[in-house]
Amino acid sequence: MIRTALFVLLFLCPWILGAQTLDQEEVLNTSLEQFEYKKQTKRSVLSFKERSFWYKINPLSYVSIGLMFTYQRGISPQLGSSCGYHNSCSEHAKLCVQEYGLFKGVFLGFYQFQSCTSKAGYDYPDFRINEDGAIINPPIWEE
Amino acid sequence: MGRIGTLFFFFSFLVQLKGQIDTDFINHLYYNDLHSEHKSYLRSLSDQSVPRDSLCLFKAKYALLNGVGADLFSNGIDGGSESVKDTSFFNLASGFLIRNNSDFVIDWFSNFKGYELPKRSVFLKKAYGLTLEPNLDPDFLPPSLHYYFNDYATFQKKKPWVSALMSSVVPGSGKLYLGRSRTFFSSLLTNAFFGLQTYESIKVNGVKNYYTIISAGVFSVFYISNIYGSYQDTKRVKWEKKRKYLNEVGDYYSSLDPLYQE
Repeated sequence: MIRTALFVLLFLCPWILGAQTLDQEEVLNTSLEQFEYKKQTKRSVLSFKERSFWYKINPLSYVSIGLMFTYQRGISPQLGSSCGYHNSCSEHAKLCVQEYGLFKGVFLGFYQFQSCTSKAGYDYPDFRINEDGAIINPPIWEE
Repeated sequence: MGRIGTLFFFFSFLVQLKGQIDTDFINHLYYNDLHSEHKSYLRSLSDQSVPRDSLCLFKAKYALLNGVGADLFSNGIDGGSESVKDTSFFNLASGFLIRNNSDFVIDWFSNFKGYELPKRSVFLKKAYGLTLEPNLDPDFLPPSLHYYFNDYATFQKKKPWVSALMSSVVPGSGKLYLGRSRTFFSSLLTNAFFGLQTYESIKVNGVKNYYTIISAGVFSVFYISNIYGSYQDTKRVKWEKKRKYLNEVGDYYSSLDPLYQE
């Protein structure tokens, strides 16, 4: 019963399947997209400089840094997915953890992750969209 | 006495000629995109005896071209009456400061209190004043700006705890409350997927099972992040609406005249 419900849920979401479009211009742009030069995003390693002593001796922090490093450098390039945000979800999570600490940072990272769709840009005003069409999402906002 | 007076007048005239700002040269530098030369020329004028107000005005114009708010503000203020007389500069500067929601906006207008401001700047000031006191009458705004102001005013009343509460009842509904309807679906589906998976695992494998524990852990992270994120996002949405309104105001009332006359 639950499996059926899950299947129904999945197949009711055409934007996840990337439905084919009849718009010729969109088809042409999509096919040429793979040949466009795209800037490689710089990935930083979690910094320890401004952290407390207990954070530095905690083995869990090293484990989390190692896992993130492995994912970003090893697994993510193989998946070849593109994020709708300027800072990818993993990078955003890392920056939030650096800024706000482990729990808040993880929750903010997962919040972006569950909002990450190709149509997410329509929910944001024009000044939050950069030239590449990605949503600008710094962890700290200067209001 | 008459000869001395004539000689004094003649020499003072020479001194004034020596200390004039060459506006044609500045226009040439601007229209030929010679920005570093422009900067050097303005810097060189500081050493000569040029009228301070005019020099500050040209420095303020240069700062406006480069988007340096602090320099624009300080030089524009020091420019005094010259800044206000140059209506295109004043309107563009007011629009720029408002669009960036700069800390200088209130001081900018209060410093020119005794002066007769250009018409567009008066509207800019009133439109900005609505963000400080929303109870003021917005009827002077044109319909297009009225729409953005109503949007801004509506979202100022949104509460973070309401958004968090809605997200706890129906995951993602907090986003709907904040106007982010497209990301609502993805958030709802993600939480529904992991929630159903956890439920099925509990039903089939029981609670004390590794798979159940992991599923429950992942689902709880998504669920709590959905609530916490909605709470934090409320402030951001309010800021976005304010910024959108101020951008539209700045664009609408900004001067159509060029900064430098050709």
